[in-house]
Amino acid sequence: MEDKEIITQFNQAATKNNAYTVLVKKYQEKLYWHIRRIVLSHDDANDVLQNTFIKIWNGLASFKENSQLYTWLYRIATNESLSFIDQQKRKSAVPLDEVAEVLSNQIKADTNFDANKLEWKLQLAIQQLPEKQRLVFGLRYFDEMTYDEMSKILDTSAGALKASYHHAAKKIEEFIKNN
Amino acid sequence: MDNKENIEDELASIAPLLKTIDRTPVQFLPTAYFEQFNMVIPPLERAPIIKMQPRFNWIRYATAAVVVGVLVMGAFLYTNNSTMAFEDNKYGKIDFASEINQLSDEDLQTYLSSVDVLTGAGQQAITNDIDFVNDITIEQIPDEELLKYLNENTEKPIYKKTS
Repeated sequence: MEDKEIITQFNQAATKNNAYTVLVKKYQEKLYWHIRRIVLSHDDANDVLQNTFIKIWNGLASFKENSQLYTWLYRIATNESLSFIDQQKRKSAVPLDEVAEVLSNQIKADTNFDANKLEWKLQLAIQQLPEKQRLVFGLRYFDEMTYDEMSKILDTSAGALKASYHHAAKKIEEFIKNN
Repeated sequence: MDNKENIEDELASIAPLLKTIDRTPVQFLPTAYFEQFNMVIPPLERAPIIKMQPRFNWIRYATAAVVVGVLVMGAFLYTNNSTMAFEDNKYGKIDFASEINQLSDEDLQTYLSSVDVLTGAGQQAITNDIDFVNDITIEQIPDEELLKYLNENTEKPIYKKTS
């Protein structure tokens, strides 16, 4: 079902629940991995995904169709993930210079972790980046978004996002080569 | 969405190593997580929100007024009682007899003269009359006057008037 049709059906009481179920099935995997890349652990990603879909349910009726549903959903997921991260930061009070190490340890704690695999080195390299660059890199590299779409999600100009992405990609490659 | 070729070309120019990495997620994921992911649909209608603010305010202000009233009354009564108690204690403990014994004659004379002044002209006149009477001896009073006085101030006349 196309996004426009999902919205139309969601706005009709008789088809609302069905449209919502279709929307969840269509976007759950993309949103989950987007969230997982930010919060890292599966349990946290699951919680944030649930909250994201609740926000989507509450806000979809007032969604303005002049923007894409896809970017709107990502925007909600991003905001929920960042709010979650902020809460975690306040609770743990990890010093700034130890953040990358804590995140790397979380990656290494994964049951599938293999230090020799390039995919895991990539994951470790991403954790060395500042938060904003991690977000930009993930949206472009994994979700294959255009800079315009990213601009709508992150409220940043396309030019700045492009510069940020290039910077991040070079740093990641450098990290992988040196580790 | 941007086409994949553009992204790949861009990567080839800035970080070619990243282009070769498989982007399939490698992190742990519970088996059949997405198949079993159930999003509970929230209830269609929200329960109406009842504003409690006005009633709460009324109770709050009433309670505040009662508390302030009790405090003011308490402070007033406490202050009043403690003043009275202070006065009672102050004078209750004085031994007037010993205090008066300690006064000198001069002090007493000064006090009495001040009392004369305070009692006014009537008292002064009485005092003057007494002093005047004290100056007259009984021999100077005529017998008729004495008899008249005795007859007026006794139940039975002592002397009969002889004429």
